[in-house]
Amino acid sequence: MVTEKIKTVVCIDDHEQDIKLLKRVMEKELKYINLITYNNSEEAMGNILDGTLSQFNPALLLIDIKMPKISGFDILQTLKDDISYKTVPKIVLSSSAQKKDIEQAFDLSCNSYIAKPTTFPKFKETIIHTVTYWLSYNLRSND
Amino acid sequence: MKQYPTHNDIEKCEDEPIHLIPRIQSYGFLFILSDDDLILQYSENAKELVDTKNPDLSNNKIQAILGDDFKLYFKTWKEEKIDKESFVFNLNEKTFCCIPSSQEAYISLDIEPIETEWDASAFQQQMLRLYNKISSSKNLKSLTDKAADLIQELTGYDRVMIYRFDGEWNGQVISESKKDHVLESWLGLHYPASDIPKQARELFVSQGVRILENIKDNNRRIVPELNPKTNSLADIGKSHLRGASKFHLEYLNNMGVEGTLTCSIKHNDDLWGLIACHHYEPKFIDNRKRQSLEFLSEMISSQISKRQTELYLENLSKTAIIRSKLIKNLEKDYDVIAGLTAFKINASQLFDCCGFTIMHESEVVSIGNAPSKQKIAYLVEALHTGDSFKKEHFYTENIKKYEIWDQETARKFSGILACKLSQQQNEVLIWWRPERLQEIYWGGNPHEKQQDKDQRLNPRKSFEKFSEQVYSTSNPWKDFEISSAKRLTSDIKNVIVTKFGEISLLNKRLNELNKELENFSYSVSHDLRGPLRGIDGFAQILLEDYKDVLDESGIESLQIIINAADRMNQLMDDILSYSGLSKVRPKFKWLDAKAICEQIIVDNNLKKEYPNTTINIAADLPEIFGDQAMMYQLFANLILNACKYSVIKEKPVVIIDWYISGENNVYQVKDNGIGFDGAHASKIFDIFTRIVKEEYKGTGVGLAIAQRVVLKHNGNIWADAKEGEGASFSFYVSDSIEE
Repeated sequence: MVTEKIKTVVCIDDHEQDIKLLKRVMEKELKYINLITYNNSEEAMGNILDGTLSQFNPALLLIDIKMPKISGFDILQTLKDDISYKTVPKIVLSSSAQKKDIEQAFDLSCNSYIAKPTTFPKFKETIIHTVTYWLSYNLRSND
Repeated sequence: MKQYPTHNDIEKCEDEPIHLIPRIQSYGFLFILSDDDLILQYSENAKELVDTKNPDLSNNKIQAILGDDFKLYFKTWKEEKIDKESFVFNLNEKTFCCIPSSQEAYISLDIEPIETEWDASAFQQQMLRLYNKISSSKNLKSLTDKAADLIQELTGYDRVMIYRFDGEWNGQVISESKKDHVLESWLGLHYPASDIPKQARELFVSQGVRILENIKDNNRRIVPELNPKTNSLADIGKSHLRGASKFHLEYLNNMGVEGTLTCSIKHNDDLWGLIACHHYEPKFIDNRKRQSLEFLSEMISSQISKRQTELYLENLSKTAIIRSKLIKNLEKDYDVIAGLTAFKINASQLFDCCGFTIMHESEVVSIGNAPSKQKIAYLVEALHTGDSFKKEHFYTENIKKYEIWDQETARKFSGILACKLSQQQNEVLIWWRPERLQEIYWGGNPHEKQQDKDQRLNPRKSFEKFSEQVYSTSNPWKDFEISSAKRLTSDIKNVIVTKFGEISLLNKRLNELNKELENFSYSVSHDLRGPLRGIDGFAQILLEDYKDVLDESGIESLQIIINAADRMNQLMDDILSYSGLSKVRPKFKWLDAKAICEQIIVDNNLKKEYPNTTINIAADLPEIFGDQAMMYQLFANLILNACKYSVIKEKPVVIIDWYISGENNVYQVKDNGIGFDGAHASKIFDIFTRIVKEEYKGTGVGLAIAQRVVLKHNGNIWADAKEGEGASFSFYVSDSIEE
């Protein structure tokens, strides 16, 4: 059931560089995606709380963990408490592969945990696989 | 006890229950009363005292027998019932002294004649004079000499001796004063402990002064023999009149003595010695004079105690200087053994000894003259097994009697003073003293059998001077020596505790630092990965988007950036896995080494990566004991290295083999590659050390990891190589790890 329907992916990551790499991959390889990015977790949190973000109707969330002031865990916690994100896949994309971070993320109901690959080719491959899986193969009740 | 044991019943003098003797001396009279003053028992001579027709005095009130004067004083005494507090009363125009003492079930009264007129101020003056004489004496010897003279003068006994006990209750006459007609001097003679048995010494301590007026008239029976209240022999241990043991009477008789008086000298509540007065005729000293003597002996006791204590403190403070120097020595580097043995001032100088040994942290170090290590170990073991070393310290002048060593060693090191440093067996300080050959003069042969042909116990008959050479005995350990050894030991214990505390503090800090370092390296390598991803990513993007625009050198430059980023990533992986080794708690078990190697070949796609290389794994490669992940890494690093450095050869060969060396299986990974200069063989395991040319990619961490794995498995790893002729890496690991 592969579709070319435009879908919105929201990425929250304070690394400007990683956002740019992500954009690049999306623009080149996943053209059906509308990417919304936050490089400031406080702003993202604000938009979650005031409902702005859910109005974008995101099909997938990519969340970094280690961010200043408001961490990915804080974001996950807030999303968990918000019914409108119940079926939205929440994917952690972090540079940390520490066991305790992974455990905590799953405790906060993330759907998948991915360590950021270290080289660009690998990064590209991982993003394509992940996004394709969650958007094209994973079924959501409201699809 | 219902019957006093007969002569034949007693095997040893010290078994005789002398406080129960049912006989008294003839100079006085004994009454044993119930609490309501009825006479329960009395000495058979009591009837001489009172004018009565009644053949039996039992069940009479004592007041009815001894009259009104007695009645008055006795009433006063009964109000407080203080033993030894005697009173004087008149009866039939004679003056008597009554010495009451109370037992649980009854009261006993000694009634004895009074000879001297009582003059309180004269008594005071006399005592003051004696006190001045005694306290002015310069040393112990002159003190006891003076005391002997004074007592001789005061009492008129033929011979007055001051007798001092040693640690084993043998005695020696240290001062003597005698009348001229007494020819033989006993000064300096020794007497064995059996001459004054234990129970007699105990009575001396409680009684203070003891008189035997006439050894030949010492047999007034107590009637009835059994106390009607307790239905057993009455305890008359407190009575001055108490009859003497037959053995003792016989002993005195053998000496030719007829009257004696004995005062105890005490030091720290223990019997220190005796004042022994002998008379060659019967001799009576009344209670007033005996009280003066008791007073005098207390005075002597306190003077002796004072001097002993002064001497002890003086000696102890002398050793304190050495002790404090020793402690300073060992605090320098917290080295207990060196502190006590390696400096100019050492533990053998603490007091007179021929050598010193310390056993500590499984080392045995001696200075001066000491037994061999083996003999010491044997001694310490024996002392610990037996009861002798139950306390914190142990000392003897005569180790021979413990039958631990051969005779020769026991003579060379007869004196031993040992202090425990801890409860562990091999934590001891020992001072050694050699045998001191000496001649001891006994008052009679102390080894003379005390039993005659009928196996009946008999006192010694011979008091001829008997000289004996004493072997295997050192100078005795003095109180201050034992104390200073004990103090030194406790000071050392404190230092050890402090040292332990400081070391564990350092360990804790070291652990914290290690942890911090690990966290640091982990977070640094993670934080570095972000920018690195940027460098790599944008270089790749440039390459993808502008390949057509860039010239060759531009493309090459980008490729260099990408390669450099790749290497840096590799480096960080290696550092992480190197530092991660200390984090993981390994799980040791037996592993199939062959299977691990085969897995490595598959996982790393070696057959494709190195198509020309022959990789041989020994078919009988034995199992290895270790952690699965670590062993995988160890073999992988060695095999991948071997492949990498042999690939340029025409027919590269990598061999994984093993051999037995001693108790170990040695595993070997060999190649026929470029090798390296053997001179670098030891350096090659250092982290970040690379000794091959730049064209071989590597981070210099792989072999460091290999070494770390081997060391974690209590093993060893080494390399052999020749430039251009291949290398071999060999290692073994322990097959039992204490986790």
